[in-house]
Amino acid sequence: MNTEKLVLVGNPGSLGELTAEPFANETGRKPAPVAEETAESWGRMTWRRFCQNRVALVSLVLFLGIVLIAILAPVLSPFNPNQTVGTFAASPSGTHLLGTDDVGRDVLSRLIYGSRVSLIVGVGSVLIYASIGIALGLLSGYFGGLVDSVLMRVTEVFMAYPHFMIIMVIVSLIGPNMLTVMLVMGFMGWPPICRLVRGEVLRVKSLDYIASAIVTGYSPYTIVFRHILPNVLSPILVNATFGIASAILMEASLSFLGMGVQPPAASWGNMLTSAQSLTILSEEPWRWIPPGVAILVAVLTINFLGDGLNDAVGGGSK
Amino acid sequence: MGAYVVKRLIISVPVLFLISVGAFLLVHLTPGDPADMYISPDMTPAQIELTRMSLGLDKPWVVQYGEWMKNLAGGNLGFSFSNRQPVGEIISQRLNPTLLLMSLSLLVAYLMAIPLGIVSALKKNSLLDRMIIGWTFFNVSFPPFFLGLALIYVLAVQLDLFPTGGMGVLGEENDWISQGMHLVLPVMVMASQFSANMIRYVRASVLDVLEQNYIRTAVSKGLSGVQILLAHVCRNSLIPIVTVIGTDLPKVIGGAVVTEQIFQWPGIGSLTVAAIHSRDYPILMSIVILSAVTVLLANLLVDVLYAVIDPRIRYEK
Amino acid sequence: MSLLNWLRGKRGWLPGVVAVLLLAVLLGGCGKGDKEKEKAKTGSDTLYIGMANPPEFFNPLMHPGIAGKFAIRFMYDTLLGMPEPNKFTPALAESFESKDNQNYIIKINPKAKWTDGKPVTAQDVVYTLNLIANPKVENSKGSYIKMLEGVDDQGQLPAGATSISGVTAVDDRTVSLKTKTPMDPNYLKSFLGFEVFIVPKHIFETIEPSAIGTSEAATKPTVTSGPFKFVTYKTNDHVEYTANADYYQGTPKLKKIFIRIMNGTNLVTELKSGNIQMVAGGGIGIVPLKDLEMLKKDSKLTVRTVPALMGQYLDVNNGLPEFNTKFRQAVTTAINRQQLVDQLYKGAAQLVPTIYTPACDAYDKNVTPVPFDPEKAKQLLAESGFDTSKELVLSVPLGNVLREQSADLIQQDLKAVGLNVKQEKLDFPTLLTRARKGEYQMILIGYGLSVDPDYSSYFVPGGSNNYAHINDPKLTKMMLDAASMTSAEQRKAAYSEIQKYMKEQQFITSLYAPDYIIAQSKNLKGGIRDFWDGSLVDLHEWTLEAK
Repeated sequence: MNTEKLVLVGNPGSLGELTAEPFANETGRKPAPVAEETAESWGRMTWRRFCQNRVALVSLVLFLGIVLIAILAPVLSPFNPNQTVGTFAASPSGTHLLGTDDVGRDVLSRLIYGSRVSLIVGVGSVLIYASIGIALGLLSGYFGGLVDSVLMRVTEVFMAYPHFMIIMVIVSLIGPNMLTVMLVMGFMGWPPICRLVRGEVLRVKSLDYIASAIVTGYSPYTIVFRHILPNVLSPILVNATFGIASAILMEASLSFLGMGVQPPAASWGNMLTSAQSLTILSEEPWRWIPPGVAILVAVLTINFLGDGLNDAVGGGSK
Repeated sequence: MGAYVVKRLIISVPVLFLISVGAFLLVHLTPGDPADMYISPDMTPAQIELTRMSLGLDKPWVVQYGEWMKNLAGGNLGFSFSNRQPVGEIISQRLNPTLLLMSLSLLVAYLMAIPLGIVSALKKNSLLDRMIIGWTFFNVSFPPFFLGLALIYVLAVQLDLFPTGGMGVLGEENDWISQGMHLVLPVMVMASQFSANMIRYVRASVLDVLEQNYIRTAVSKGLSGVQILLAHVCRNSLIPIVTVIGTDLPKVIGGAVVTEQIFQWPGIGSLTVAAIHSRDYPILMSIVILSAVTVLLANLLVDVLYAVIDPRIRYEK
Repeated sequence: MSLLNWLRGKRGWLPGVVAVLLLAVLLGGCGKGDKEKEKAKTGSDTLYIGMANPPEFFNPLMHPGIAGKFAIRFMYDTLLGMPEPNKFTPALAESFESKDNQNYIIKINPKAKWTDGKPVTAQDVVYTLNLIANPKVENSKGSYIKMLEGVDDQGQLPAGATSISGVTAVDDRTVSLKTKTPMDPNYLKSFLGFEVFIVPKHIFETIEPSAIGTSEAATKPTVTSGPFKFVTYKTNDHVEYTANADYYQGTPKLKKIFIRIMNGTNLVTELKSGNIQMVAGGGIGIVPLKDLEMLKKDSKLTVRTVPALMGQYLDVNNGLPEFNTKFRQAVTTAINRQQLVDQLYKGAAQLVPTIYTPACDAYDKNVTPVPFDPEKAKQLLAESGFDTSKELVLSVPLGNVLREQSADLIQQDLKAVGLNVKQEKLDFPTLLTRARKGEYQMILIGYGLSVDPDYSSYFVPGGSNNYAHINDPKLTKMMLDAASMTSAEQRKAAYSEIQKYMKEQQFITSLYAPDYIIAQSKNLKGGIRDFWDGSLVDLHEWTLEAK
């Protein structure tokens, strides 16, 4: 147990109240055995193991459902989500299944469009930070020396920032909207993946066959893409899945605080902001329960998905 | 060990320095003049300039940063823009409520999580185990503000059992009971988040230990379940527990922004939100530094604890 | 809260928070407790006030926000009280007279004392006015004394001068004032008389003028003259006051006052549970409109709405040539302001033709709002020659939910007449900076207005609030002339003309003037008045009666 690992364990990528990664700590603790199989059979094996997990499978179906809703939002929504289409603050009726909000917009349509924000921010920010993390991790591990020390200090700085607070400050200062939320979360989230990849690179580098590959003059490109990346793919994938759940929660929290996606654009988080009013809370439950449940379901399915994935790639808990 | 701690502390100085520069740049290079927040429409341009001067905003940012650092070195965190009171005083007023909320939440979470984790491991794959695991997933997936609102709706508004927010009733003596009642809902929200990680971690490590050879030996020696649990399992589960504490401690300062906001808890989290809205840079800077220090200290503390509970761990200088 | 009382009765055998917590969690599952909510709050001598905005600090010379001014009024007296617009009552000044509308004699109440026992004297008044005029002192009161002889148009001493020539202490009890020109006495009384807090000379003269802002006297005042004394301020949480038993207008009947700072929702829950007996009202203690009906149903509360001296506006940047009169008229005509008032505000707002609201004396009822007419708006837009394919940015400050929602509706209305409007949300300081520099096209902004109808600072070039960058020579002349007239009737007529001209020109679009919501416990005698600014005039007489 060395300090490096300990810092990885102290992953501030998740906030106390936004710990959407149930065991982000565990990923990377038990690296998958070095892949001897080809990529295809690795994928097939993982899928087979994944299918044995019913909860994960159901979650996958639900998750795909949410994705489908997001893609088909214009078709599914009965109304324009950002337009006043009925009386203000009306209760659910035949025309407006979930009623309307304070300025007469259809709550159901906003709920449907809100899924787009959650998915785009969730997936987008994870893609950004995973790319940065992988690139820097490879650099750091592969070159070592000065590059490594500098990068590791930078990671330390990033990890010592109170994550949610900093994101909140940056987003509200540069102007809250979907894009900035996604970018800021993307640029702040890379250190855990960077460390994960670096650790794996260091481990793989010490293996005999890689050492001999280096000696026999394989290009760094071949070594990185043939030997190192396939090995870190599983933990990264698992980490990224939980990361999406985390990012969705964080976007919702920011929007809830009024520091994320701004109305008239609909986000599940900003739909819940209004529930801070006593009247809405106690007398208009259709305004706040549906978006709350939507976030819960989305995050829950992704977490179960990540769990199933983790089990399937063999890095998980027993 | 002592040398190791000193070395770690020395390393954290440049880290903190970089953090402070980053935070300073961040708040000072954003568009908008914070002085606008603190002037009255009745003021003349000359008066506005006077206010900018007394807030120190008239100088270039490098000079401002230098002055800030100089004051910091002297233990002075400066004056809050919005109410001209010493930042140190304001933060210390807000620190106690946050520490109270968080320590209690951690306590409740761990008291609940550790037994649940052990039971879950001992009854591996039973219905109970599955329920506990499922519950942890619910806990981490429940948006804290949604959980908070739901609790307020059911327990405070509908059933009228608890106050909807705040920390106590002013002007009356706030005995333990009143404070306790105000704590219940926010602690429930925070504890549910904290407990999940611990449950899963304890479960995994207990399972780990149970598979070790010495446990099998102990069983074959005929030791009872409770004895094994106490003598071996608990001791060896300490490391993962420390690990989880290590991930939770850094969140003590900045981890309850949303919860504090919902329950009107007068802590650091709600101060942060207020400071962002009012562009109160001296407060924001101090909060960022304070939480960074907490993160660094918590990491160090955990590493030291590892060495204490597991003599096999040694840190090279 | 009944459970709480129940527990409190038996605390002997329940020490410690953890035990309570566990018990409470257990009880939490057991269902409904008995519902008697009445606490021992009736007939108390401690008043709890709920307020949404924190009172920055307690500097009697400078308070950026209304909340600060409100909190200071509990402790510092002004020369005059103003329970209704332009009706004055004696306060520190026993009398405030003039024979020629230019020379005034103020007699200080001989009983008036500072809380450290020293008498309030004419020297204190002279010192205060000079402090305000001192360019080295950070203050927001300059515009209240700018009519005095010997200061410039911004209320500051000109270079070289050491004191205001128009202010002298005749003796310990008498101050004489001289204004630059003869003027409406109400103008002087409502500004200098009612808005300037008199500070203790013997305390403030010991402080370096440039350091007053951060001094103890400005953050934790101890020597004051008002009915209540400062005890403590817990930042963003509460202010505590205790009665000043030696108050010269009579010992206050309440013993203690707490101002608690909380968000709108909590104002509602705390009012309903009786933990606060009133909300500060005005612009600083507004209960959410959404909850108005809920409060009105509560038999323990009196709730009413009154027209207020504030409004919300859409400022089109008058400095940009393409935004000509026709364009501005088109914008106003295109916005369904009646919908904003009726639906968004549920009727708790006034539809106003110009910046003047019904709460203002000079408001002319005969000037009617421009009617909503999308077709007319399209026509005006065509006449204006504005290129409708161009993208227009409407900048909206964050922080006021109803205003943000109104922005969504306004955007829809403007789109409906063919304007390509995009919304941009900015935090308030950013928006103000841009507005001041004129780097915007359209903004939404709220103005809090004074009792006196002189709103020239919003409309004349160089005015401190001229965010719309209006430069209309005719309007400027009308406004400056009206401000300097000496008779009240003459002024009223002049402001009538100004309102007609403003309606025609639509320099800014007056969206609506939100009403003040007054909500307080029925057993409170006293509290917020229809004229909000004058609410604390008789604070020492307020009582909380037993039912």
